[in-house]
Amino acid sequence: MHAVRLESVTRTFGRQVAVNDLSLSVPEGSVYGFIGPNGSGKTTTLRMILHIIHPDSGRIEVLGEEGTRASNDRVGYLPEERGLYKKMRVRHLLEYYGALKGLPPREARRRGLEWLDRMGLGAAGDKKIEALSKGMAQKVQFIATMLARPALVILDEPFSGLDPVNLEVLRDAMLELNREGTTVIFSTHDMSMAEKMCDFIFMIFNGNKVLDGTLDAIQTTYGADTVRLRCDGGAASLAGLPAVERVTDLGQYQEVRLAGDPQELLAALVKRTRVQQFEITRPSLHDIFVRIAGPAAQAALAAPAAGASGGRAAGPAAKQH
Amino acid sequence: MSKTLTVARSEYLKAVRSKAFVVGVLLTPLLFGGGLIAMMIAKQAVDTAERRFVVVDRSERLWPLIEAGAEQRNRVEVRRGDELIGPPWIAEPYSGTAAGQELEVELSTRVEKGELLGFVVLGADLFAISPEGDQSFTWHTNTPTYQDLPNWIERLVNTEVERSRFEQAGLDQRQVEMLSRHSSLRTLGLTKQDVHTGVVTAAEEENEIANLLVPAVLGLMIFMLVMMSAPALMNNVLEEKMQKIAEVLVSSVPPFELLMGKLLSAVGISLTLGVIYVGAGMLFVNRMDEVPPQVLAALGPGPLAWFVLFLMLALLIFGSMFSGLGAACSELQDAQTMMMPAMLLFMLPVFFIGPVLEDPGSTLSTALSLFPPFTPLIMFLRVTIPPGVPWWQLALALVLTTGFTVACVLGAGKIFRLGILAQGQTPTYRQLIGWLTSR
Repeated sequence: MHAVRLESVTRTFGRQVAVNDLSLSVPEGSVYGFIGPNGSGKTTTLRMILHIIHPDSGRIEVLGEEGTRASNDRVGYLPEERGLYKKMRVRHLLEYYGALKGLPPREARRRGLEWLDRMGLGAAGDKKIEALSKGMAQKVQFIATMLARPALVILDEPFSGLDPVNLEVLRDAMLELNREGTTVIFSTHDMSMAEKMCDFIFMIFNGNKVLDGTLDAIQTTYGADTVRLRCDGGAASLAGLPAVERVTDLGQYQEVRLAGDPQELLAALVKRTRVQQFEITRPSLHDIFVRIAGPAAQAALAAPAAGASGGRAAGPAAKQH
Repeated sequence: MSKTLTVARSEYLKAVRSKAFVVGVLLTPLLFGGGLIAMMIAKQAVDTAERRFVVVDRSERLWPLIEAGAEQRNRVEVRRGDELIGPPWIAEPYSGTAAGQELEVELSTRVEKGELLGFVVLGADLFAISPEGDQSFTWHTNTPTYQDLPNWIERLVNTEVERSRFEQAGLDQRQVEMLSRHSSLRTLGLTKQDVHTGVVTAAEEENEIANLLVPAVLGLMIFMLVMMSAPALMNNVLEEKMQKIAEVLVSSVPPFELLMGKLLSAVGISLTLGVIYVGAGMLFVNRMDEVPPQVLAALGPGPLAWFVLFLMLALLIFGSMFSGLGAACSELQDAQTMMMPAMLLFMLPVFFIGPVLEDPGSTLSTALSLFPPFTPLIMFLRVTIPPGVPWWQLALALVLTTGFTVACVLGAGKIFRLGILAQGQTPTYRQLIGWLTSR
């Protein structure tokens, strides 16, 4: 069973194609990560799943309901920018947002207080939103999303601006919900978080789907063309070495994308400096993201001849970087 | 529908629980009636500084009268026990030797120095029957706005001069007054006859308070209540849009239901205010000793039902207009600019209240009352002022206004749906029309 199914969905704004012929299936009970550069079509896709905006063409099915808002009461939504009434008290706000999802006010109040306790905000019920810190307000927004025990939650950039402690609290709550059977879709720019949390990863670039699958499958597509190494002299030691396509300097170690044999690189490197670590590995999601949507791809898009397509993960467009 | 009610309930409670609501309940009528109250208070404030004036009596007969009159007034009207309740008028006769312009310059100098409020010149031939000779009767002052004293002098002198002239002509003044007395015209309603029993009901005296004041006050209250709610809706929607609350809301509630919830809350808030104000007014009327039955009838169920109906129509029309504008704009400044035409449409009928009250059956009044944006206020006035409105005009106005209201709500719903999540540049009116006609 699928919680969400999109078939050939296209949405344009004026002449701008925000989402182009997108097909996607989100299995029930999965954690699905949406990644992509700013303005690539993530939020438009999420809004279409919520029926906040309608596609120009294609079919959208959410929790078994096609083309209507009938399922919206079973869907929780946390938008990218927090939307809370500054002058409202926390418990009134939760009661209101719960009631909008079809909960009786008393039940919404009860669940709101329960969630506040669970998220360490037990004393904040009577506070006005404007009196809360950013992290607290974000938790309140998250609680409002979860209040009606949705079968599907859609979280647009849930971790942005959170400190590590609050981030962990939120992540644990999301995973707990998922364990209880809730399907989770979230968009993020934090690739390591996507790698750790997601069962499936979907990447959209310039309105086109360029990645869709498990992390393992995606990385397999890109092959073991990456070397993670640490050596005396750092990134400077790698200058001019054969078959090195790209060096990502991560400070303590470097990631090298190779077009040739790793053994040749190792041999050349040993002649230059002392190698402390040399690991042949698959590219990280971060690296794959940059390969697809890095400056070269952006420049290609800006040039009229480059066309609109970002290409598939394993396709030539992805490999050319 | 239940979500519409949820939105309406929340918006209503949010509004009536706020301090702004309580302050608004007290402050708005004060602002509207503030000028009147301030004038009444100012009028009651008593200035007890004495007003000194000089009498140049060339007739040589009027000075004793003015002196005695002023003294009596100071004794009887200006004092209550030892307390002064008004300014004493101190008259002094001109005792100098100057004449003509030289005299006027001398006394004008004293006025400028603040020694006098002014001086009155009474001509030598004021008592003459024929209007010849020195008939001058002038009041010189640099405070022309203070009218009480010159008015009093004018009355006093004229009464004495008239009495003297009648005497000179050998006429009895009392008899002349009896013969030349005025008859005042009373305005009555129509005499009615029961078609079945033939019983005739005498015409009743018309009451201006019931006929004009009560409808005008209720009409202005419609204007005031809409003024308090409709533009506030624009700010409310704009705030939700700017603070990204709208996105959360429309993920749970379809935009049209959200708009309807907001409109319903505006209706609820206005009706609450209406009950408070009208209730307070009725309480005041009931506590008065003698209330003419016409006034009670003007505040009866019929007029109040029209009040509620037209108030609701006005709220739906202008509430939807302002909500739509709020959803279309992204900046408060843009919204304030874009609201001007809607505000003008809302304000214009107020300027026609005078002509409509004067002649509710005129072509102008009829035309204005059938123009939907003006109907709530103008038709309300026409319905509640005698002789009332022909039924077909009322029916036509209600049909037109209901149709216009539905069009406004649907149009605003469309703009609301398209605009509520739109960011960036505020659309032009042409683009808004494009939104209205889009699929």
